[in-house]
Amino acid sequence: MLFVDPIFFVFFLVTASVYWLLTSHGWRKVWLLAASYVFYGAWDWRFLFLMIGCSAFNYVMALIVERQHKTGAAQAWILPVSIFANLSVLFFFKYFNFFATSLTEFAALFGATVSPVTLQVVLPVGISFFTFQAMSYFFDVYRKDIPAEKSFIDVSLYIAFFPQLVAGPIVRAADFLPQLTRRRFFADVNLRGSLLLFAIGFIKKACIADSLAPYVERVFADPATFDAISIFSAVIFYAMQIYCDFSGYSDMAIGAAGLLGYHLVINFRAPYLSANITEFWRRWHISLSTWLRDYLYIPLGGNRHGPRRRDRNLMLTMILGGLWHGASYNFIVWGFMHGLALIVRREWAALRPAVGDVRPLSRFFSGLLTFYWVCIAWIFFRAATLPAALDITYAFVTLRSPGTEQLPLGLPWIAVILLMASQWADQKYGIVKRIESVSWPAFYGGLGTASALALALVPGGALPFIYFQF
Amino acid sequence: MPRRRRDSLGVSVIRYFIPRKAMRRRPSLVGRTLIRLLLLIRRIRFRSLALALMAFAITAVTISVTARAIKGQPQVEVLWDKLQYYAANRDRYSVVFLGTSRIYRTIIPEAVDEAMRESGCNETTYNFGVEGMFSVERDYVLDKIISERSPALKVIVTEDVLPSIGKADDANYLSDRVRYFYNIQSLPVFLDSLLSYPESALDTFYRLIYLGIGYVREYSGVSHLAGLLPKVGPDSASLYDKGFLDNHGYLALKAETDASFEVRRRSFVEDEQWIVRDRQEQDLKGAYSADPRAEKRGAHLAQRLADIAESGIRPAILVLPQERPETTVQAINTVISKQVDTALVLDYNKITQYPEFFDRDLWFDAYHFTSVGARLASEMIGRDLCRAIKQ
Repeated sequence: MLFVDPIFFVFFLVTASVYWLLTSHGWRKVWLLAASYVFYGAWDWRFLFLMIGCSAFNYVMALIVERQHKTGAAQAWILPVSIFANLSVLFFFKYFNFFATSLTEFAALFGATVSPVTLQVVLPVGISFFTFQAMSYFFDVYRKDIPAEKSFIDVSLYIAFFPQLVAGPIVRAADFLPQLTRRRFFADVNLRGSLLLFAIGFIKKACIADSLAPYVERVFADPATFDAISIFSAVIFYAMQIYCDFSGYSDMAIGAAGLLGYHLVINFRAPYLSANITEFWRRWHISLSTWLRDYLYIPLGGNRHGPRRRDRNLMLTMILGGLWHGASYNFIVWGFMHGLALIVRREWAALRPAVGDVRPLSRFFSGLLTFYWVCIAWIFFRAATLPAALDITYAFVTLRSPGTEQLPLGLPWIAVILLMASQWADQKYGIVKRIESVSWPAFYGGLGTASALALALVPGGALPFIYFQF
Repeated sequence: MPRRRRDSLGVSVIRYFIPRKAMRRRPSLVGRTLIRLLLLIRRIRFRSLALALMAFAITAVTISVTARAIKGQPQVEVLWDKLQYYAANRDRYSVVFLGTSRIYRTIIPEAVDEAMRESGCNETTYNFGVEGMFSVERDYVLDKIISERSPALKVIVTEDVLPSIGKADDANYLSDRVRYFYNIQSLPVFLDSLLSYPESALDTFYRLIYLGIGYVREYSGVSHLAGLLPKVGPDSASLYDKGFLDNHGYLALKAETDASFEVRRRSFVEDEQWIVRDRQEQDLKGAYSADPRAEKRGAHLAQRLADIAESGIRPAILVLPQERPETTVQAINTVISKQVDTALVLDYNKITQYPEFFDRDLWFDAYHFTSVGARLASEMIGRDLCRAIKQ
């Protein structure tokens, strides 16, 4: 069930109506949990057991850890067991075949013959998201940031809450569980803000991302046949496609949760307007970057043990962040490229600390450079193989290609420019907030008109969200 | 003195329906839910909702109508081309064959004409077969041919069973192919087709719901503006290149034709029992004449044949052979032969009378002839049709 499917709108209407009609707060949570399981089970009901198992395991482990805190009988085994159990689920479904094949290839380098053992395993949708959420709950209890939740329903709902279940944002237990303790009131719902965010997300995903997808698909499928301008454009379009796809989903998730009275953290803040790579990571997939920072980078030592350890921790965090997206060398290269850029940026900042405000022109050019680097990294993220990624990178950087076929580029470029201009205008003038506060006829009339226009611009057949695969 | 605040609609309803005494007691679960519903309704600003819906409807219908006017009706492959070609060349043809892929891949107009000429009839045939043609399409095409008929047209031959008006093809009502018909002009055709079809009120309602969803989807403007934008993919081969228009509508079935045909071909070659299972499955879906409602469907087809006859054109039913004739119940033919005495019935699905058609080598798959089988059938049909016309 996609957020852009007509069936989702029916599902959401029923879920939200019954939710607000129920008088008991407890029954409301049960209803939401049931709806979340239906939402997830629509893909493959068998993996519901995996999710319920994951919820139950972390629920029990958190209770054990809290009891140990109270009795003062802390045992060393609990943390590694929890990490091992959670990651082994992720490893089994997502990485087993990758590591088995890599081991075989590695052995072949030394002349050894190892028969590859691969499994026909279906990847559960959103496994990386709900596993990380479950782990963060346990870590927060372990670090005494939050108390263990006594209600299994609450923990299960935190892990399975359908708006953010399959593609984030990755919600922290400390943010979400307190929201489950008190009853929500319809009068408190920011109806306009939530509807607007959902509509913006829909436009980003269904109109922009899905319209750019065929251009990207054609070039990445056979780059050698296209001329350099088409390849260059396709890379830029992919950067926009993945942004609109993922941030569109996040916006819709936040909007849908808002209509149910829950607040989810913002996941994107116009990342392509960043002046440098550090800023980019403060604006791109914020829930993942802060998760990695809090649960990986800082526990590894962060920047507390000198620049060399800091750089090592940074690189490790980014490579593992890349690997989180999928089992492929391309994702490792992608993570490495971002890690490298972050290290260079830190060294540069140490050499030339910023004094006062950065000049707009300087910010513009450093932003352009950042975007250029991010686009090169996206090539590795998107290309099917490493050699293909290298070919596209060569054409993108040198603007040379043996191919002659040209794509009709006018309209997608207009869309890209309009998108960037709207992001800039929203950042500078707070357009979205202003729209929220216009008079009711203007708001609802505009919403109806914009929805009709957005539907008319949806290309035939909705494509799945890119981040569902992660 | 302060003015007494008027009760809202919700509270007034509660006051009206629930006795004062009962109001003092704690309401039951149903009562609590009802109260909650009314309170929730009070909170929704209906004027906002109404305005948003109105703005949506006006914009969507404007976009839909404008896009249709700019783009014209979408080009549904084969059907669209055949309609265009026939409209431009209708005076050339005196016999039209109408039906599914079994007509499309069997009737070789030149072979039919040649056989008719040898039998003393100087007619020219057009093959209006379209893969998977379903009833609304058939009715639409039929009505178009009748209303814009050429004086040259003498006979319309249609297939015996059109496996579409049953529930098996409900999904078609929401397909892009049917979307072609969802316009105001076609609405009476649709309604007539659905409402005149003899079936239970519940079934009619069920189908009308599908039709309604189809119309709502079409007029909600979904993808209409996107459809006006230039296409990114490579241009599909011109339909003229496929050759069927040069062949008066006929296209031979070859192994490379289509993936679905390849699958059927493989099943036909490798698994002789496949057709029996497939036919049983189709019967369960109500797609074929073993359906208990076959007689009703026969009545609907009989009505269409009567419409043809009324317009001064001779109607004919063509029952093409099935590779396994024993798996089909011929209920419809019985009905039609009883009800429409003016219709010619060309029934070749008789293994004792036409054993030559049941040689397995003549079949591409369980439903379609190879080009050799098609030629054999076309020649036979040409001769029989001429004889019938002369009578």
